[in-house]
Amino acid sequence: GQGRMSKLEYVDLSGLRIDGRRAHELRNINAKLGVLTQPDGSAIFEIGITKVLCAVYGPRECTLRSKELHDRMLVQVEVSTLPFASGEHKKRSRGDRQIGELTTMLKESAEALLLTSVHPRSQIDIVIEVMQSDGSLKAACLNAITLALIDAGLPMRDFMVACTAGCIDGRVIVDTNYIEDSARGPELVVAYLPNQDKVVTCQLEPKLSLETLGPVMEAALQGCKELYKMLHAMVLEHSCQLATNRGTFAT
Amino acid sequence: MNRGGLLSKAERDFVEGGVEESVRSDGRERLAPRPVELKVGVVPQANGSCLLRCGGTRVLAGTKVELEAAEIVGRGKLTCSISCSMLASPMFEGRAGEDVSAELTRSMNQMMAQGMPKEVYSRLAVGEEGKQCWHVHCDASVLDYDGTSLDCCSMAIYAALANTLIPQVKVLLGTEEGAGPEIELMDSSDDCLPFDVSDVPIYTTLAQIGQRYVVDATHTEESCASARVSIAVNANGKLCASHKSEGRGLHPSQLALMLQAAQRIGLDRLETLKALVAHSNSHDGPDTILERPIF
Repeated sequence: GQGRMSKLEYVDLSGLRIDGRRAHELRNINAKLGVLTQPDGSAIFEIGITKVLCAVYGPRECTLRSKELHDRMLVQVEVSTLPFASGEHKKRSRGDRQIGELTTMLKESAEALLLTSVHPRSQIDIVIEVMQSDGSLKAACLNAITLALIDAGLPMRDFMVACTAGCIDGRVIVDTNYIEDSARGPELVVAYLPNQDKVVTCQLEPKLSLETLGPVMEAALQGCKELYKMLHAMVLEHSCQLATNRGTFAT
Repeated sequence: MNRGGLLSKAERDFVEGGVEESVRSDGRERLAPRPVELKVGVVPQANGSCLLRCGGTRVLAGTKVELEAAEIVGRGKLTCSISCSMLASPMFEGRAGEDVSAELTRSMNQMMAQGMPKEVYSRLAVGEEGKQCWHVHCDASVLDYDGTSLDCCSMAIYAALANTLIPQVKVLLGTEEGAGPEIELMDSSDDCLPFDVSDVPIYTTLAQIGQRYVVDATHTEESCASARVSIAVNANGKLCASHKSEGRGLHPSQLALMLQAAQRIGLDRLETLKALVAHSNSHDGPDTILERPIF
């Protein structure tokens, strides 16, 4: 067999990570709204190589009357990953536990984000397709959901943004890629409402000492705020484009 | 929004009337397929990938190659899987989407298994003994639906295969008795061989509307169709697979005409695909297929 691989240096002496970023630097972001014709709202969110497509249907009548809620809307989430999205070929499986956990987290975050009482007895379906996966997948899904909900015009509390932060070799890093995710260091995913200054979702695995939690959380929130500035500008530009197309104002 | 499935009698008559006059709702003739737009190499982690648009239908296909022990010595494997989820259309919710995906997957696998000569598979074997082989996984996902998903999926998979690079391997004989040969993967991209797609067929679907048949039906036209025939044709003009779906029966003479038409159209499309893939390989432009559609 081959010799043992030397220990990977995630953050080298000059403060650069494996892909050349600094500890608190986010990867390149791209957001596109309204990419699909059939759903009421759709969006693609890209961060680095990670690319998530999200479609939203609704508000519409509940498909199963038994699930109907009298005072708020029902939120259903479905997640699937393309088999060639990550390094290895993974067959699609419906009962995957990881997908199940991700689905639950996304559903709860969406319910916290949306003003569900505005549309009682109706349902919205959020469908997520992971096109490319290279770390920080949960955060990417959350961001894609926000963008798709904006495209669908659903009433929301705020502009939810999500970011991942970790701690490897004692260094706090933001927006982990696949290699850094696999390092088995602690990984904190935070979904944040910037205007209300509230945290919607916070998931940490596997474990972190209390002293390190403070700086890691701070780094994640800082990442969220930066992300918000960029995404807000992109959505604003998109809206201006739409308004111009309608003839509402001339550029 | 195109909720083309629910049609009134008047709309149905309008579509049938147009087909009769060979002027369809989008101005096409009966046997004119929609123009195809594609971009290869869109998924960096896949060995080959393609994003394809044919009218309103958009498909993303990707391939991944894996080394494994050969089930039949000297033969590689090629499996396809197609997924059609609610992303593409609200009618693919839950069970309905799974059924459509299963049917598309079955059609594709049938075409690949029976429609391609043995040489394609024996080329995927590794080493002299052929005990190890490449398993090519082709996966397609329908992102947006406006009719004729089978044709688009087969074309997208063809293009993704054309874009696929198979790494070269060196087989080293085992040093101990009883130990199998070791396989060393050549890491450099110069050592990759492109997958030879000259034998890969694509499907062409014809739909019977009224007394006539059309190629590349939109969702609205499919809802008016009384029968559908999908025929797989390869670059040599050979019929590789056929699949009839939906309701009514077809008169054998009608079927014979449809087969001829499908063969002709299939060959044209393969030529177009080859040119588009070559163009996309050499030009690295921005992605226009997943941009917001302009109405």
